Amino acid sequence: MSNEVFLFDAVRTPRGRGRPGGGLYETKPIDLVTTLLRELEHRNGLDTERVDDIILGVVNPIGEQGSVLPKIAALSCGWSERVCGVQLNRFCASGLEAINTAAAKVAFGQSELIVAGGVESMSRVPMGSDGGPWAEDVATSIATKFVPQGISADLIATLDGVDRAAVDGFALNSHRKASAATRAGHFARSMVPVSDTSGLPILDRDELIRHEATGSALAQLKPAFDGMGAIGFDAVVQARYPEVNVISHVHTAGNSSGIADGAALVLLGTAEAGRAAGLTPRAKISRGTVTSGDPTMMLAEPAPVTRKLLKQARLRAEDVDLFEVNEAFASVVLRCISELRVDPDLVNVNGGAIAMGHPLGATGAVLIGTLVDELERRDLKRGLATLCAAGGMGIATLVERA
Amino acid sequence: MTASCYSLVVDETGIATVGFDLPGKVNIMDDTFMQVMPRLIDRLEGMREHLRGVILTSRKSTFFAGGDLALMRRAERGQEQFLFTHFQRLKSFLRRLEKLDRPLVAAINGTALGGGYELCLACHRRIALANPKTRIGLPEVNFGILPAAGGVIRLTAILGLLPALDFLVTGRAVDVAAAYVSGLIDEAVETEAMLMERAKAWILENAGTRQVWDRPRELGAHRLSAENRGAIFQVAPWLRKSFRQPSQAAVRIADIAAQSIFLDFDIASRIETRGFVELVLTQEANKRISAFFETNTRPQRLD
Repeated sequence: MSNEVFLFDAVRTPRGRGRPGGGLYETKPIDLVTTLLRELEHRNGLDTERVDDIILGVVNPIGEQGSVLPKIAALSCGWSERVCGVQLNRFCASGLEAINTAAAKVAFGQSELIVAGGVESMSRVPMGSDGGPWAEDVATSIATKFVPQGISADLIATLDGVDRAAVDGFALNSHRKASAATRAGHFARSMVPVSDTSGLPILDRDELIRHEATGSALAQLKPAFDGMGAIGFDAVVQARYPEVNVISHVHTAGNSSGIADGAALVLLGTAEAGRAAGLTPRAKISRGTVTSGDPTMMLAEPAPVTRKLLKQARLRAEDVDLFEVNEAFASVVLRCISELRVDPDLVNVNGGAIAMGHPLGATGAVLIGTLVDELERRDLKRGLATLCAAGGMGIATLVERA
Repeated sequence: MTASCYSLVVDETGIATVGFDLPGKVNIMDDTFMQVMPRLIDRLEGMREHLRGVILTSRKSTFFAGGDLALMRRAERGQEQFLFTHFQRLKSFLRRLEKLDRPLVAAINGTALGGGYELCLACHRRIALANPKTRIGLPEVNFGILPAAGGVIRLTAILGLLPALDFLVTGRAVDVAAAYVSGLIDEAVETEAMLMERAKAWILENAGTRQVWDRPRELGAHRLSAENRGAIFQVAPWLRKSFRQPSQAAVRIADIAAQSIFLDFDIASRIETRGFVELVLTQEANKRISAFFETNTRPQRLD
């Protein structure tokens, strides 16, 4: 028993700066989600009783993001009480894991119509608020050689011989692509402005893009992770990689993903469920998978997980028309591109998280929405989204135009 | 014009006393107030280095009657941005006063309702003259709106969530004795002379004072104390038990008050303004404000 899984719609909020004072700080995480649920309902004329489940990635599911927010969001915006909800956490891969899990449930016949995606208000529930044993249980941290992700990104740059100019150049390009895409309206189909209860707009554009970004401005930024290296994390890396004498701390706030607030959802289901609900399939979720590698290097799995997925699909990298590789850090994407030997011009064609921000739980779903919109715009067939995640994990999903 | 709207006297110790005397029978936060305030604050900021503190009082028999109900009565769809900007501007005056970096005392010589009491809440100390006719409170909810000059979040910070909501969602006004017992004011005095004397003494004893919401504090619902979480947990059932069908205004007030406990002050303040704009444009608010004008022979009075 295996059903084909179709994507009927994709929506996202603009991404706000993820700190007090950011454009979405005054919006509750639950309202980021209900804004999108209402939009899915209204623009698709959706009878919400047809939706089996809402699966959302939430990386810090505590406080305002706690207690199974997806179920409560459905209730709060008047969706049918029959709609279920669950949250999951695979670190930065959560939003895409939500889509893969939803697709698997639909394929397996457990559910017919599912909303999947993610949310993160990093301004209201900052990264790391949930603690956890990897960083905060000393014995575990020592035994597993935990380092913060920025250290891993700098390790990858060091091992790959990627210098500051290369990561800054990548970052500048991300801003330029995101700026051009915004001005050309490439995000207009998916982006749903966030408004207040009187209808006044709160945020209607991705707030982090620097439309006037320059290489010299990026070059002036200080390394973000040399301090962490100095307190001992460089020594942790060297315990695992004795061949590395000096870690070159090339990543800055400018060439790392931005801390952001935002949410993204997709509507998935079987062809029959779509027909019954009057929905038009836009794309097929063909496959999804995960892999994991060395936890200290941590962020190197986008290429291995992509190879695993392509092998399962009996495809080659050349068969993929567009890639979305999450811009956690510039070195991560540069490694993925060189390892897969794909044309850089097919990767993140509208910019990525370095320019627009990485709301942890939501980003995977943002990538799928961006990918499907762009495949349609260019009238191409096949796209692949991949992210690295903490613990050394990687995730990938293959979509094909319906 | 401004000369007749307030008096400003600085005594030999460097304490400035502002006596509001806006045109009309009572002081209200109307267009004149909006014009006078920035100039007054410019003056106070300009002389800050020579000031020990500031006393706000009224030269009328009442302190301040409240907000500009005529403006709210005229509010209609399409004015959302105007209303938002207007009230953000009004709030910015109170914010500049409380951040003058000098102790600010409200010498409440008579009734302080609505916006008038919100002006007192922006002060670091509230001292009232025990006049039996004086009423103190935030009656906005009875007009289908909310106190949009920081009243929701400042009262919540001062009294705590549940005690604050007991005033905010009932809209009840109280006399000076009750206001003292409940914490709406910090001191009650018997004579006008004592009012100014106590205000000045407090200023001299409290240099460098800061509002509780401007002191370092933990932000985020996940950082709330068990006590505050417990208080938030009780709000919804308490509203249901007390009102059966709580009004839109009561719900919005409670929602904003609860959030204000764990959000940055200025952002909570924006949320409060947004809630006000939502409410003032409802039919319920229009009906209640219009009814007030129709039944009141002196439409500017709130008491």
